[in-house]
Amino acid sequence: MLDVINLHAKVDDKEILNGLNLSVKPGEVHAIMGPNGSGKSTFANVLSGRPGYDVTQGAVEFLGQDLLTLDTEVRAREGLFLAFQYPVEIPGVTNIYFLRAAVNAIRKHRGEEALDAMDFISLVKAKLQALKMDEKFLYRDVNVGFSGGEKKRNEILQMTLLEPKLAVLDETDSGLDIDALKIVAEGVNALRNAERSFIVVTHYQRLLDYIEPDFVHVLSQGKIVKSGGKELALELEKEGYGWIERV
Amino acid sequence: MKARFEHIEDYLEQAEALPQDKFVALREKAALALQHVGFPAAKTEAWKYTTVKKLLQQVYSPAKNKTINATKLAGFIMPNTQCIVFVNGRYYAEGSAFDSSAITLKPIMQAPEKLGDLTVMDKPGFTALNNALFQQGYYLQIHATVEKPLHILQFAIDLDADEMIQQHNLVEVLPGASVELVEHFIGFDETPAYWRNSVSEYYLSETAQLNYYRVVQEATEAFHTNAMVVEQLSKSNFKAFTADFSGKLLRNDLEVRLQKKDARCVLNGIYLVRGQQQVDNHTNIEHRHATTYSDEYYKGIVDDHAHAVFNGRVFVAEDAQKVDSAQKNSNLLLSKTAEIDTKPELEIYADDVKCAHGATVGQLSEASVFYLQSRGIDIDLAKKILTYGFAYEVVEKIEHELIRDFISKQLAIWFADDVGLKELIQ
Repeated sequence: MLDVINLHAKVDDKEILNGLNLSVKPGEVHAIMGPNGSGKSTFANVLSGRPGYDVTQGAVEFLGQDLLTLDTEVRAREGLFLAFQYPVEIPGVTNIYFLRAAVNAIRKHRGEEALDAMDFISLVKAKLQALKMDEKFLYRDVNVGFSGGEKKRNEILQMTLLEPKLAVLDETDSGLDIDALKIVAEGVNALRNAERSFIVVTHYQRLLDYIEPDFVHVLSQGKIVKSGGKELALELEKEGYGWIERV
Repeated sequence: MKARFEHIEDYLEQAEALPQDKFVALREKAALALQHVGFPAAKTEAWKYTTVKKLLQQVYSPAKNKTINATKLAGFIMPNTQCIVFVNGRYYAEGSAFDSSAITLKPIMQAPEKLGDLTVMDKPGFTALNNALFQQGYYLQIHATVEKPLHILQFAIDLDADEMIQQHNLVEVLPGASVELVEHFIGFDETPAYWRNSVSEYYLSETAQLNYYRVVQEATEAFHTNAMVVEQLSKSNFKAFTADFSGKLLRNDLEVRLQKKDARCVLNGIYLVRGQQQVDNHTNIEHRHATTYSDEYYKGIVDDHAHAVFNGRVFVAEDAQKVDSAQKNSNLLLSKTAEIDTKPELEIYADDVKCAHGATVGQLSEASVFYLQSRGIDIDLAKKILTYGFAYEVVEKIEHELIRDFISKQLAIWFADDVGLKELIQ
């Protein structure tokens, strides 16, 4: 699915990723944990091709393609999804238009027919219920005036509609209360299957109580310094990140 | 001869040749003003960003009488509305249908003597010209609550480059009456550079409500100058929405006089300007009484070599305490060769008032473009969606669903449909 080899990247001329290696196979859930500034979000943004995040060395292979040469929209159409830490507010653009534009862009790429407004409504309604989202969300402007929890649920809604092959969740738990966290986790778990993989980027172990990872990696100073099973997350929770930096 | 007095003699001759009518005093006053102030020139403060040189190159004569064929007209009729149709400024009865129990429509020649009282003639020079020359226009009286929106269609048909439409209109909304009025200016690109110069006066009585929408889709080469003055009595409510889509030069002067307490106005607008187009919106809100309220939000999209001007004056008279006024103007600059001049003007002579204003000029947000791209949306479509959204943010404030949909549709039409935006939003 995804092979990251010796990835180096900088932001504003500052080296953030320092030789990151990671291999994700179909159906696996990988958690990436680490203290603030360790490069977690940078990694997520580099994968999605965000401008301003410059790869200086290394390679990323995604489903047999050189991911780094693809435009952001092509990465998305090929099956990569990034759930944003800070979803963008877009005044004047109704959520439903945005969602339908996204779904149809991806359907077109897969050689499927575009969905018209009616078909799309029935598709999206079913998904909304699962995320306990009110239908009125569809007719509000994208993320405008949404609470933190609503924004994150809107991200998960997009994910369920776009059915990615690999989803990267960037600090999706930040700013969520426990109820919202559960809803988001249920949304993710409902999408888990033998083909779909996840990279869950988080500062806290809490999210991993609800989304159980197969692997946990600890990121420090731009590279993975320790990997293990889900018990590693519990250890980190107990000991804090301090001991990792002493390793 | 100075440029601003060019052709004035010709127009005065046209005025003298007109048959005598009951507005002789107004016309004489107008002719004098015209001789005195002339047309706008480079040094005219209110016109300093907008050149009318091309418009003033020639003398225009009154537009010829034309009709519109029924099929063509049908394409412009909004469902569930009533309509009043004008072709080249003249009333077209065959195409009009409205409920006469709440609406009285008369030719402007039957308007009361007060016609012209609200107009400002000492500023150059198009209002004076209109007052001196007008032969057409409507006197509209709204005396009850009008249920279905009233759609006024103003067609410019088969005009030559030296023809002008000079309409003078008077609208009275009587106490407690209310109406949704959509005025739609339509030109066709096979027609050369005609000139439409209109002057309209609006009287809002106590507790009257006028929601006025102005959609301008003139021919690409046409000139459109427009002056509106609104007088509001107590507890009256005026909401205006201006949508400037096409025309070579569009100039709107909108003045609102909040004359009595608890009068309220909301002025919103969008202007979409491209090619060599020029759009100039001058608004002037006069808080002449205590506890009057105004809220204004104009947004503009300016591309290519186009030029947009927004000048928003807010005046608060001495003793007009507890006035609450907010003004915002935001612009999206899509090209390095486009120009935007935005200028708020606040004149406040009372001390216990709340007046906020802000103006911005910017580009599309990179973060927003990236967000859409990360969902698989092509970068060109992403930019179009965001540009559309920029303007739609004001359109979505329109409460009347039918009219909101109508204006969104015109907005979608403005965007060339090469990337699928139109399918998406319809």
